[in-house]
Amino acid sequence: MLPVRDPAPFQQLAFASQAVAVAMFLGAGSLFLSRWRIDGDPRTALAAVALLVYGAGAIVPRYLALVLGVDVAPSIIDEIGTSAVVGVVLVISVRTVVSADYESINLARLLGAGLTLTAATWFLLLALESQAPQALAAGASMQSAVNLVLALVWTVLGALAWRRRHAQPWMGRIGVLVGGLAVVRLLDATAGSQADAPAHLGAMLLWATVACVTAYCALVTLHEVVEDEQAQLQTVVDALSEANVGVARRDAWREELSHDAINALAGLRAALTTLQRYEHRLDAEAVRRLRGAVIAEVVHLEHLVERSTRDYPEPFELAEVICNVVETRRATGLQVRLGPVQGRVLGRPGDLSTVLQNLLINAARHAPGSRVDIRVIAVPGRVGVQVADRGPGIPAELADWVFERGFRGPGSGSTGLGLFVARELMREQGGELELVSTAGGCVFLATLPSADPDGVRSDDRTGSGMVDARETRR
Amino acid sequence: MRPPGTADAQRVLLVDDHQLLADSLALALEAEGFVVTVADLTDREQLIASVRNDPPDLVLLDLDLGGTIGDGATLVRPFCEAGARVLVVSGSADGYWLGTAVEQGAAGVLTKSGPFEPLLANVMSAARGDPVMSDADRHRLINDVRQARERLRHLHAPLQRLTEREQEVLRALGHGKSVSQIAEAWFVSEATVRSQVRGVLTKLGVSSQLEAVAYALRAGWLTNPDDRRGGRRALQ
Repeated sequence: MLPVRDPAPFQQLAFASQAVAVAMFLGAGSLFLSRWRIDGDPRTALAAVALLVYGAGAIVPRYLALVLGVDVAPSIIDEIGTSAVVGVVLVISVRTVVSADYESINLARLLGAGLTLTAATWFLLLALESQAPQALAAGASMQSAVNLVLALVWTVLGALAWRRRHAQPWMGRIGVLVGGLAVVRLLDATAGSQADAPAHLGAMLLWATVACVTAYCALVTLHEVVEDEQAQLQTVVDALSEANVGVARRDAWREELSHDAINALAGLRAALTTLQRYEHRLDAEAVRRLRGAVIAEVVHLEHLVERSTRDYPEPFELAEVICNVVETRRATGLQVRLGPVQGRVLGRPGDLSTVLQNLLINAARHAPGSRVDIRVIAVPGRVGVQVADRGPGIPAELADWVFERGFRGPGSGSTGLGLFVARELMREQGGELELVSTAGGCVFLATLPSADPDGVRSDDRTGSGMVDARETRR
Repeated sequence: MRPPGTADAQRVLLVDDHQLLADSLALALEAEGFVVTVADLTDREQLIASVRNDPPDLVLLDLDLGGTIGDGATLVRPFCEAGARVLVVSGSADGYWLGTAVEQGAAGVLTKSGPFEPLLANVMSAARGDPVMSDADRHRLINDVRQARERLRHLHAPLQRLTEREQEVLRALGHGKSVSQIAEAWFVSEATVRSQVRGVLTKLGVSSQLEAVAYALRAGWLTNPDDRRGGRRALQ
């Protein structure tokens, strides 16, 4: 305590603090109302109402007394106001803190209960004032008693909230703030009815601090809610963009399928009509070639129809596919040496399996008895499976033709179809099948886009897939 | 009907990547007395050079020629300049594409998706130099294409007013990036990106990021600025 003190500044400061506290509580209430408009959570509405009532309650009773012309001491009015407000706030707060089922909260009923409690207290105090003024004249003990009771109530409420802080983080914050209110009341109780007591000033300063912290908390939670809302909006925007890109890809894919089918049908029609119309004028070799090509085209068309029911490429482990295929072929007596297999690719596992089977069967046919080496090699952005046999290889001048449909093949219609289908299968899943070397056996390389697990290059992957699809359009 | 190999036999070049159709058509035309060559599609320049050195009477041109050559419509002009008549034989029903080919000088368009005999008859009459398409039809096709191109240009004009940086921002937004992600990736402040986004919104005359992305998608600008499908959409 200061050695020399002038009571007036203390009192003014206490009033100023009180004003700040009231303003801050009202502000916090408004912020909570705004938040409620966004999140629609009944708890937020309760907090908003409690804060608004608490803030307004600190001034309204005095104003009411003035309007009604009730001539009572300001300190009594303060107590009445305080108890009134605390009544409402208590009922709401207890309901908020204790109840687990927030959906069932009826705000109107709670407000009614709080106001009834308030009115009862107020009339009780007014009655006491008229019947036994001397009891209140002393004032100090009465006021201290009210403050002590309030401190106790706030403490209990704060403790209740604090205990539930693990279930809801905001309960912890409420616990601390309500605890602060308890300290305020406790401090005020020691000041008695002396408006110029340093304890009262301390209580009011603390009260203003609690109010400021409450307003700050309200601001922070409002910010959080707004950020959440924005994040949700962003998620929706992202999902929409992704859906757009997906639709575009599917459209492009469909268009290619139907384009291929139209071409295949046009080819068949042309070939069959030509055969029908000019068969007697064409030489036997031309007729035979055309018939072979018609059969190959029907197979291709069949394949297109089948393809239209298939899925999009998905990421999968190379090892799963390669090991299965190798085991199956080994079971038929083929000698296969398998290097280390690792890598995740984007494609259709079933199709890759078919392609590898095709290559191995091909190797078994053209290089009987030779060992086949399978290696997995990394190409930038892609992963390749290399299949090398040690057979006679293919004459270099025919290397360009191995992937063509039977029509243009070197021998009869029975050759080439497997490799043609294999290349088609690779290309339509964004991959490629190449004949890398023909000297000292055939070396085929089947590549697929690499599936980066970190997803950083996912955009690029989509992009390159599209480009590949375009390039391989027939 | 002329016997094959006579001096005045009409020479036809088939430019089609679909082997079965090309070979069938070649056999049928040969049986009808034409001298037919099926073009080698491995090298575009070589193909143009061979037409220039020895122009055939008629080129039957497919528009969708696959990886090595790509868009057949780009071959129409060089072939016409070499002195050949170009007849488009396409499986595509894309009016914008067909119209572009006619605009470039193609004598007419025939569709692959239909009975083969009328196709063959039309090809033969074209090879003999008869008109395949009435002038009115040609003009209508060309007109449609020009109008579609105009609409597309109109749709693209605001996008072209964007600065380079604004275009990049719009592209990133279109790929689902948020302002903060863009700022982080480019080592600039969020405020900078926001002001660029505002620039995009103002220039496109839209009020939200989503709307801007939708606009760019609609204009076919986001997927691929040279996308043919943009033209088709404008034609529809």
